[in-house]
Amino acid sequence: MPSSPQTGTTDIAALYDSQHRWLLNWLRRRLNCPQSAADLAQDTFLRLLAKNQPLEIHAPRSFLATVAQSVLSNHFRRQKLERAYLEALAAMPDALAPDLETQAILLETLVALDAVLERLEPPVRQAFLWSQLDGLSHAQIGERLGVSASTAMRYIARAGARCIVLDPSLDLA
Amino acid sequence: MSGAAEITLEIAEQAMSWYLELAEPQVSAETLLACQRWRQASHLHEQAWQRAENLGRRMSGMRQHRPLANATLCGGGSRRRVIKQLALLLVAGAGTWAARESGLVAPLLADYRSAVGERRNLALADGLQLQLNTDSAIDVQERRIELLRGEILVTLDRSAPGRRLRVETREGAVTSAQGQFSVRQRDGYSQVALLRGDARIEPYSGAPRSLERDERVNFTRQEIFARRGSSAELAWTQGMIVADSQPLGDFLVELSRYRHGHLGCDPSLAGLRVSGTYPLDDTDRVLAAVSRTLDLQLNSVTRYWVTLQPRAVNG
Repeated sequence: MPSSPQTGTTDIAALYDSQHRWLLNWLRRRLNCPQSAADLAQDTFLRLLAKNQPLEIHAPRSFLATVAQSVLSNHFRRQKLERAYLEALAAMPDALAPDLETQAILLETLVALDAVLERLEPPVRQAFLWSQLDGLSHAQIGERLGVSASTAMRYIARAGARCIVLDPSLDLA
Repeated sequence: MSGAAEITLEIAEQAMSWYLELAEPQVSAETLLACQRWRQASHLHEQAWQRAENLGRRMSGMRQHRPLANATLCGGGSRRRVIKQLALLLVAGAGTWAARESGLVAPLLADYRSAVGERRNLALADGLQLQLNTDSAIDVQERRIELLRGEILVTLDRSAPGRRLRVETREGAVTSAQGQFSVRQRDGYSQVALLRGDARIEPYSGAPRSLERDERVNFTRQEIFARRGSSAELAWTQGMIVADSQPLGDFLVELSRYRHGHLGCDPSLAGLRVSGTYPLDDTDRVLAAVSRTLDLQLNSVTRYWVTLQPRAVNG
């Protein structure tokens, strides 16, 4: 793509000037927290900048709304994860709860993992978690999903492959 | 080929497949070699392999927080599920090995072996207990144990100050200050499961690494590979053999460790799934039970040549 970042940036700056207030309002109506609305508006523009492509904006508001919608659904997804996480934590005996630092890392890792696995078909995602998190055998997973052990293994490999391709931080570990 | 090549989904899937295959309880030396070759074929293969390993490590690191992780990912906040998983964890943690031969302390410099079908408990001095599985042999020299053949479970209550216990196999050494772990000499590699305490693997020509609790690995002289384990693999310490939806072929290989002679099945049956918990003391009875459950015919030419076959249909 022969893109000119310069144009893109300018476009976004212009877009920011003209639409920031509108976007903020749009987000506020969908959230119950003004602080988050400001953060998410920021995230929306950051995402546009990261794309680094010229924008073809005939209808700036509906364009912004599309991007903001995706930022918003990520936000809700993360909130849902956090809520589930905190509930589980509250149900744990204190002695078994990990320390705070471990908790922070754990939650971040889970959010990242969830984002990578999100678009996979449910059995593929489930097979991966059963295998890698619960340590079930391919045969056991196949039985639970009603597929053969080798299909279960293919599912796990497919989900794992997504992590391998999408998560460059795996180079560092 | 483009210059700035990236790992493709296809390569990543191959890497994952290798990784999963090597994590199986039974791996042949050929498979290890084939995987090695695949990795060496291209730097992208190797990079994808490294990521697969790191992913596996990250996931198994999360395993000790499994109730939290599962509740978060499969969430929607089911407290009951969390509590259920916790209960399972607690039960698994409570299992301890109690078998011990009464009072006798075995000498610290000796060879010990167990016959086929036999399991032996040894209480050595210094809070060290060993359990030998069937057809196993060890050479004990104080804090150094050489596993010559077979499989042992080591339970080390406390370590002599400053000296770690060292178990050597053909591929490397496992050392520990305190804890419980099993070591099995396989054909071309060694298999280790750490149940509690600490253990460190030192392949003779590779980088050493400490194991996490509950971690299971295979290692060659060069490398350590994470593998998936199951509680079934240590059932022998309780005198049991456990099949959890295991292919019949694999189950018979496992069972044949405990008896003399040939034990096999018709190739068409090797993929049938066996589930069950059986006492190891009478393998004839295990075979009878399995063939009854799967509706197979048990053919024993002699007690030492037994095959399972499809039941003959008359008329």
